[in-house]
Formats: sequence, structure tokens, C-alpha cells
Amino acid sequence: MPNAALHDTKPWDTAVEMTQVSKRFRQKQNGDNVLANLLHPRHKTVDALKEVDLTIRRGEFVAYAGPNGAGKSTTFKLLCGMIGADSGRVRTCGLDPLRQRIPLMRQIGVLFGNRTELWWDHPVLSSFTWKKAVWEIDERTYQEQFALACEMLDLKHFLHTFVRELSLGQRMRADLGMMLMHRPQFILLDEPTLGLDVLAKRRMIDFLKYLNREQGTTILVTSHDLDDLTEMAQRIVMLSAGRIAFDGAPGDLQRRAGDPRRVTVVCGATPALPGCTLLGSQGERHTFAFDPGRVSVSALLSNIARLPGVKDVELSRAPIEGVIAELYRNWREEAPG
Amino acid sequence: MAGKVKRLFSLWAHYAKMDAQWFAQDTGMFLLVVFSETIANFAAVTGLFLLAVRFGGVGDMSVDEMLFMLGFYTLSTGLVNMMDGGNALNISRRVGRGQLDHCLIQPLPLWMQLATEGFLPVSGSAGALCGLGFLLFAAARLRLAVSPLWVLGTVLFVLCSFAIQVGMRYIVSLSAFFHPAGSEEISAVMGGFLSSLGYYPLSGLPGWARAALNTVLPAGCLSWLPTLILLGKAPSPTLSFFYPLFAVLIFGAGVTTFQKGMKLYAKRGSSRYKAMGHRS
Amino acid sequence: MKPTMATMRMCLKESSYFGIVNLARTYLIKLFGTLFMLMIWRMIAPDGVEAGGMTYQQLATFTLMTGILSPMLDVRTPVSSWLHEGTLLSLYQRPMGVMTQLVSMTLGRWGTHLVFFSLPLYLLMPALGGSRLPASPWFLPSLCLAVTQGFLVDFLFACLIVRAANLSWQIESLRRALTGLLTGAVIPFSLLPWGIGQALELSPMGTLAGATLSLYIGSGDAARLLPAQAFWTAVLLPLSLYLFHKSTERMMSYGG
Repeated sequence: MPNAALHDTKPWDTAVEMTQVSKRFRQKQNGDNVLANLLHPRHKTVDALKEVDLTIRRGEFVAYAGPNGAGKSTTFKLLCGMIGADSGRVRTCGLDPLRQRIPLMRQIGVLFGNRTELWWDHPVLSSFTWKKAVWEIDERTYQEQFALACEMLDLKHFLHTFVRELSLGQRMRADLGMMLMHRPQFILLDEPTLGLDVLAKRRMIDFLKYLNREQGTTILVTSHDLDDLTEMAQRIVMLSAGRIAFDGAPGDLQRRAGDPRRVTVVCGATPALPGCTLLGSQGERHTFAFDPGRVSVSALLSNIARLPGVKDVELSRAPIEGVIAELYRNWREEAPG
Repeated sequence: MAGKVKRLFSLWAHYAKMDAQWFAQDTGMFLLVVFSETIANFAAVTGLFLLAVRFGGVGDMSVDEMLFMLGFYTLSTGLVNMMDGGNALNISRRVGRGQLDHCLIQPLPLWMQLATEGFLPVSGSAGALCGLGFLLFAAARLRLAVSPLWVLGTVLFVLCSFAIQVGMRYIVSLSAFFHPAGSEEISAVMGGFLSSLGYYPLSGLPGWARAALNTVLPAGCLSWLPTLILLGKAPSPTLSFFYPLFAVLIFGAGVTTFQKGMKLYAKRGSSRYKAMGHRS
Repeated sequence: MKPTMATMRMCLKESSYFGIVNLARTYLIKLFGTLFMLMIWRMIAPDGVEAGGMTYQQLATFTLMTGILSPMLDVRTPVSSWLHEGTLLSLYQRPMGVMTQLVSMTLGRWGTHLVFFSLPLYLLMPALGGSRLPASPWFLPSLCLAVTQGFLVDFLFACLIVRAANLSWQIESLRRALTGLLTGAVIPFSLLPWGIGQALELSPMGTLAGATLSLYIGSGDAARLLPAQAFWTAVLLPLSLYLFHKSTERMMSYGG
């Protein structure tokens, strides 16, 4: 490949372009027999991704979800050029991640929630200046991004604290701030809210939304917290056993699961509601599930109005976590083997 | 090329600054590091030196020649330690612990990262400084005719010894790409092997053992062989040519092996991740 | 007893997961190191010549036994390495004593070394010029004391690492250097000049390896060495247990 191509940083419209991408891994399988482990180590093959097609346009905020082992981290590693695909084509910001890793890394930012890029035995600020030197960030960009990170992520209180002494939330904020120093156009976040408390999570989500909205940063984020993802992203891509099982808006996901609803009736005895399934009772509170496609809300409410001793009624959508759990269960049952 | 050299120096300067900041973070730590590094470097070679004193030398080397060799050894292994911050040279640890991923997200060629990231010119310089001290002291006692050419040769040979140690660590680290957990420590084992045997005189050994220890497991190339050349005791003058050539070969083999390993890494990745030793 | 055995078995199995090639490579390198030292002794004490009052057979036996007993003469429990990973916490979540777990894990890890390195080397001893039988019956009690003392010293180093916060690497390199010189595991004390050996022989580090090895090869005086070992064990036992207990809180939060 000519040298010029390796430094190609042409403007791009498509952040992610994966065409028929497959990736397979070998896993060691050992048993209890020490001698057998030594002489005949066994392996099994795992299909991490199977003929995946995925396109993400500039400016999109995409949530990437799926059960454990679905292939989320593998996708991230492929997009960053850490590993190569067995077959298919991968392009990140119009570049071949494996062959054009260096120019790609100047354009994107990567953060794995369970790993830190900070220097453990140094104050937080040292990691930022290190980033400036290694990424060759110009002074103006650095100062602008630094000010932005300090303000939005509230870093200034612990900039001089040693990284090893930070709390998890502080460390994640510092990591996110550092990742943004070179003003990446596309950021990939693997479980950025992992282990964060409610306040820290809120701050992180708000900041990501701000980056996407105000700076036009393309974001691809994974998380197991579906409430977070549906709040953040305009599009959800769900993986199951290495394949894309869903790709659409958060609302579509809910509809695909049948848009299940809940109704809670507060009354003395457990009532019988036609077309509804009792989920559980707590004292006088009785919660039912129903499908609005089968039982209309007006019919349901008139049924409830006829019940004796009703003190209160609550209608709500089923929590997204429950919907997704049901989907995961279905996918697992459908998956071969 | 000039741009790459400039970049290398600017990164070294940055890492030197970071190391100085780390080293000077508090007085107690500063003193403890100086104390422990000095003791560790003295203790490593003291045993053999005392043995030489007791028996008036070891093999065909006098006490002062032994001291010269120990100085050379401490200087070259000290240089390795000075460049090995964060396991940049103990590369099987980075491979085995899945920490190469951290390298791959930097907009720098891997070789440049590994050549600069471990640079500890302040906190890691004790070995090199002690070695230089031993070397100069022994040279003075041996009344060596020190010429600019001899100094140049010494510098070159120290670099060759460094290159052999690094090359060997990288060669064996190929197995960490295949067996990340089992081979995580393989470069440290190789480094430990070379450095534990690298300061013994080999003159009295059988020919086959000498040959093995100067080729396949080149512990003799760390200090014994270059010392013989520098002291004018080498069996053949051509060794002054072959020694640097051998160093280039081993280093080149290390680089090639690592590149092959990286191709495998791109195929297999690393399912294992341990934060231990990363940027600390 | 069952939980202890289960823990030992787990640790024994750990190294088997890496496959025979990995094990063989590690032990081959160790074997080379041992053979190399034998050659050095051959240079210093050729057949029929005594060096510092020691014959080649004694020196060879010394080096071979150093290799055979190496994990016992320089005890390394998981505590010092686990500190970095912040996973020491898990030891406190099991219904077993922390010390019991550390000891059983260490014993389990010795298994592979004993089977794949110590046993073959022990069988090869006569061929390599060494003696399979200890010169003194006091070797065994001395080994037991050395192992106990080794555990206590390891706990002390773990406390030191925790106290030194981010200097674990420095402490480790210092320990390695001191172990090589002061424990008398590499060069017998009797070969050191200026009476250094005699001074080190009775020190807390010297009684770790040097005492046991010199009793094995018959160059040590049991009446001097065993009381010294017993004395240091008695001193180190309360000291290391006290400091370990005091450092528990720091250990829990270290690296995690």
C-alpha cells in the first residue's frame, strides 16, 4: 500500500461500514484431569460475528446492545483495528482499520469501561499532557477540549489527584475527558456507565448527548443498561449470537416486542380482568400485563370501573429491561445448538 | 526519517519529564527508590565479585577484569531496565495480559511506542550509573589505554549487549501470542535466565557449552564476550566484527518474530485482559 | 481438611492449563541455569581440588538442591502478586482462614515444580556429580523451619509492598537481589571472603536457604544453625502476623 494511502484522512460520511463481516475465535476447554490438560488441551470454536452488515452515518448516536457474548466487544475491536475480520469488509471513517490504524486513531476515540488509559501512578493532569504529546494535539484544540471536559465532567476537583486514588466514577470521567482531547469525530464507548452511581451515570449520559447534539460527534455505545441506551441513542442495534437481531429506533424495539403494557389496580380482593395476565399482588396492589392490540384501553378501563371497591388505577408501559429480557430469552430459544 | 527521529526524541523527552515527576513526588519515595535501586544493583553482582576476591579471580580472569566485566554487565542490563517501564521490553506480559490493545489505539507506530513508553531515565538509571562506575573504576585499575576508538567500541558493544537482550525477549515472546496465560512471563524468564548467567566468565567451560551460550542462549554475549574483546583477550580479532553482526541478527529476529505475532494477534485478538503493570 | 485440599488441587491444576510445552520451556531454562552453575563449580573446584574447604561434589549437590528446593527456599505466596490486582478481597469471602488459604495455594503451586523439575533433577543427581542423601539428619527439621520462615518473610514483604504503595516493583527487585546474595542460595556462605559468610549465616535471610543447604551438603554446624533458625522463626512469627493483620485494610483497598 502506498504511504499516502496510509495517511488518508479524507472527509467521510459513513462512520461504520461493515459488510458481511464474520469473526470466529478458538476457546480453550479444560477439564479436571491434570494430565489430560497437559497432553491434550481441548478447544472449541465460537462464532463471535456471523455475516454482519452494519452502517452508521456521520452524526448518528447508536446504541449497541446484546446479551453477554453476543459479539459487541469483537465489533469494537474490529472497528479499531485491534483485530481483523475473517471475512467481509470493515471500514471505520472510510479507513481500513487494520492497515490505516494510525490515521484512524487521530480521528476516533475509544473507551473500554473496564480498562483505563490513564497513568496509574501519576496525577490525572499528567495523563492529559501525555495524550497531548502522543496525539500531537495543537494547543488551541487541547485548551478548548480541556476546558469543555473540565466543565461538563467536573474534573477540576481531582486533576491533581493520583489516578490510583480516584473513585470509579471519577476515573471514568477522567478517562472520557482524556479521550476527547484530540476532538475525535467518532467515539466508541464500551460499557462507559459500568459500575457508576446514579449521579455519575447521569452526568456521563448528558455529556454524551451534548457531544452528539452540539459537536456532531458520531457515537457508538454499548451498555447492559437498556434504559440508559434508549434514553441516549436515536438508534439501537441489537446483536444476538453474532448476528444483528434488531436495528431501529427504541420505540420500534418496544413495538416489536408487542408493546406490552401494565395496569395496576388498587382494591381489596384480586380482581378478574378479561384479556389481562396477573403478574403479582402486593397487599391491595394488583399488577396485570395486557396487549393493547387485543384489549383496548377504553374497554379495560370500563371493566375496572365496574369492579367494586377500586381505590386507584395506574397504566404504564412495560419497563424496557423486561421487554429486552423477554427478547433475549426468545432469541436464545431460537438460536441453533 | 528526520521527522521520525525528531518524534522519537520529543517522546523520550516527554517520558523523561513524566518519570522525573513520578520520581520526585515525595522525599520518602525518592530516598527509598535510590536506596533500593542501588542495593539491588550492587547485590546482583556482589556474590560473584566476592567469589573472585576469595579465589583471586575466576577462570582465566583476574579480580579487576572480573570487575570490568561486572561493570559492563550492570551497565547493559541497567540500560534494559531503563527502557523497560510498563513492560515495554518484557513484551510477553503486554501480549499475555491483552494490553497491546492500549497500544493499538494510539496514533503511533508500535515500534515507536515500545521504544519510548518504557523510558525511565531518572528512576531507572541506577543500574546504568552503577555499571558505568564499576566499568570506569575497573578500567582505571587495569590501566587500560583508553582511546576515542576504544570508547566508541565500548559504547557500541554495550548497545549490542542491550540489543541481544531485547531481541531474545521478543523472540521467546512469540509464544505469548499463542498461549497468553501460560507464556505471560516468558520474556521475564528469558531475561532472568540471560541476566542470571550473563556475568559469569565462560572461559573454563567445555567448547560446546561456550558455543551454546554465545549463540542459542547468548548469555555469554551480555558481558563475557564483549569484555574479552575490549580487554584484548578475545581468541580471534574477527569477533569484534561478528559480535555486532550477531547483535543485529538477534535484534532483527526479535523484530520479525514480533511482527509475525502481531499478524496472529490481528487474527485471534486477546480474550484475556489484566490491568496489572499497565501504565504503573 | 477438605477445603484445604480443594484449594491446593485448584492451584495445582492452574499450571496444567498452560500445556506441556509451556511447562517444559520454563523448566528447561531453569535446568540450563543449574547446569551452568555446575560448570562454574567445575572451574573453581576441578576433580580432587577443594575450593574454600568444599569439594566439587558438595558444590554440585548445593546447586542441585537449590534448584530442587527453590520454591521452598524462597517462598512466594499469592499475596504479594495479588496485591496489584486488588483481588485479595476474594480470600476474605471464603469460609476459610486467610493464612490457611495462602499456605494451601502456595503448596498447590509447588506441585508442578516438584513433579516436573525437582523429581527428575533429584533422580539425575548422581549423574551430575551430586549426592542424593543429605549429609546430616538435621536437614529435614531445618527445611521445615526454613519453609515456615519463608512464609513469614513473604508476608512481611507483602506488608512492605502495601506500605510502599506504588513502589511494589522496587521492593520486588530489591527482594530478588537480596535473596540471591543474602540467603546463600546461589553461592555457599563458606566461599565468601572476609568472614562475610559467617556473619550472614546466622542472619534472618541467611537462615532461609543457606542453613538448610549447608546442612544437606555437610558444611554447616547443626548446633549453630538450627537454634538460629528457630530463633528467627520465633521472632518473625508474631511480627509478621501482627503486621499482616495491621495491613489488612490497606491490602483490601490496594489496587481495587
